[in-house]
Amino acid sequence: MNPTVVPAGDAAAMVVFGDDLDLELNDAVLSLERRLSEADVPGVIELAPALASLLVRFDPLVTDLATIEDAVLEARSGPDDEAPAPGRRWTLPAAYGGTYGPDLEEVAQSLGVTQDEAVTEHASLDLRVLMLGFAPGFAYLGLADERWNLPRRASVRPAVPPGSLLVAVRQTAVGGTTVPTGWHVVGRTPAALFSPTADEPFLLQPGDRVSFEPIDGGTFEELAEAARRGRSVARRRSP
Amino acid sequence: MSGQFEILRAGPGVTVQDLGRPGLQRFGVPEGGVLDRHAHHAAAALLGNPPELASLELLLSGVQLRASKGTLQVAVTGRPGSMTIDGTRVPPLVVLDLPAGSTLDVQPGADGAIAYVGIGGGVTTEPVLGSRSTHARAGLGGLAGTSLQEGDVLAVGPHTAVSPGRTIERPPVDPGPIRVVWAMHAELFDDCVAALDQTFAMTAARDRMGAVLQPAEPIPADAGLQIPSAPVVAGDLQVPGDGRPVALLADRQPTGGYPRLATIIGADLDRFCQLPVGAELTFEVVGLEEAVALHRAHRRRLETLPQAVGVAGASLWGTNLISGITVGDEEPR
Repeated sequence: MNPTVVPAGDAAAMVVFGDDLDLELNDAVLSLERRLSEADVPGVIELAPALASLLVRFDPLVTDLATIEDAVLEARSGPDDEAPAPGRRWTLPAAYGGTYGPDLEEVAQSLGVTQDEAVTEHASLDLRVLMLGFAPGFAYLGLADERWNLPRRASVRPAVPPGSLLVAVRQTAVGGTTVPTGWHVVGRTPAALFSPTADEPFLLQPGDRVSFEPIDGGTFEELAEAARRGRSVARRRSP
Repeated sequence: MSGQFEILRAGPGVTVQDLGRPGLQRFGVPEGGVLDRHAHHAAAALLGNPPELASLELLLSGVQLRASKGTLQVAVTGRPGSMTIDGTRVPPLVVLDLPAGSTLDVQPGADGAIAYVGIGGGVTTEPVLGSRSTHARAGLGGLAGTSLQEGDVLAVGPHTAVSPGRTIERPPVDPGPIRVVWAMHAELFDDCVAALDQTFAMTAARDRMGAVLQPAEPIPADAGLQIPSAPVVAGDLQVPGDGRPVALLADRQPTGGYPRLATIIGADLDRFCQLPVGAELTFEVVGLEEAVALHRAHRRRLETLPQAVGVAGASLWGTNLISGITVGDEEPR
């Protein structure tokens, strides 16, 4: 699978692996991102991985598109170039349904199961952080099977609380700030995905693995209080 | 002793901005920073500030502020409207002393959208994620993560005074087309050349995240066109279902799911952001090589602005800058 490198404006390059929602494509993106990061190419301002593409922003006074193209070729010429480095593994507690997940019932109906079954199924998923975007700390996790390929809702909710679990198009999105959304809100995690003043402001990064652990409302409130006091509520699992 | 000032009145778009927080797009954080880089750098050059220090950005807004501690030095750049200090007219693009107790009033301009109030020593709010730039959507930076309001009190950093009267030439207003390069999705449009080859108007639906442009003819894209979410860059012209392109700016969401037609070149972003509401504009497609050359020249101009600072002759705007501020034949203060 060979990517194409195209200009994105006059001070960035986009490395495009494909346009499908595909874990292998995402593997290739994350692997390239890691290698380019290690190569520390002069003039590169940042690398921003997405589902199937990687943005390389650079300083036009220091480098140019041709140099970036060469760096991409170089990075992909090493051995084992499709295997990304293993990320960290997280378990995030999450309260499903009710006020935390007003769309759980309709999602369960779309799947043809009960709400409890939908929760069990969602919590059994071993998800990967495909990318972050849209808002600070907002992570796109995937991929669930074709049954979860739910279209977006017809209307947008103007503001859902941070930590809301949003599902659509085989992905689960979860963020660190209040956001508008057209995805289905099925639950909420009390874990803080974005802490702007902390040493490590972002809980998740591309390539991490995430699974959710169902908790009840009482536990949610306890953990939310702990998180407000700066305690970490996400659990890191050993690989 | 470092200074302090208080906001007496502020339009909705008055924010603390610096050069932004690049490098965090992969975590969903936009780069942010000043919309008109040239104007912010000009204010910094006038005051002898490093450009990394923060200024007040006035987007479609005016501001009234009073120095409350120390004598501040200010310089207003970009496209302000009329300006006064304690009711007396003062010019933009020149260093002005603002003693404690004095009030600076800047009206929004009619021929542009953005002005900068640079202050000697820079505005010193608490940096967030390495920058003082205000990103209101996520509540980051500035003072309390939002635009400035009446009653806000802000501090400035230490500053070695420069001569009041230091000035810089107003950059010429270029009325030509906004130059763009094709974006990666251009071929997905029914007719990308025709789409760009028309007149657009800057709508009132514009802020630090983006600007909606009204085309003479809506731009058709395949119904149900779905592209996977991908990172965007400043200047991208994204076209959602209603056929009206949106130019993505400093506080844009870092990723977008709509097809991108073209990208405004780096050298023309400042000029684009200054277009007032209702302004008509056209686009011109240039090749990548030309765009890169223009971008490099633009960057070099920013870096050499301190060399472009001079001292005003006494008659330049009818002001007497030696013994005070006067306008026309008013008595000197």
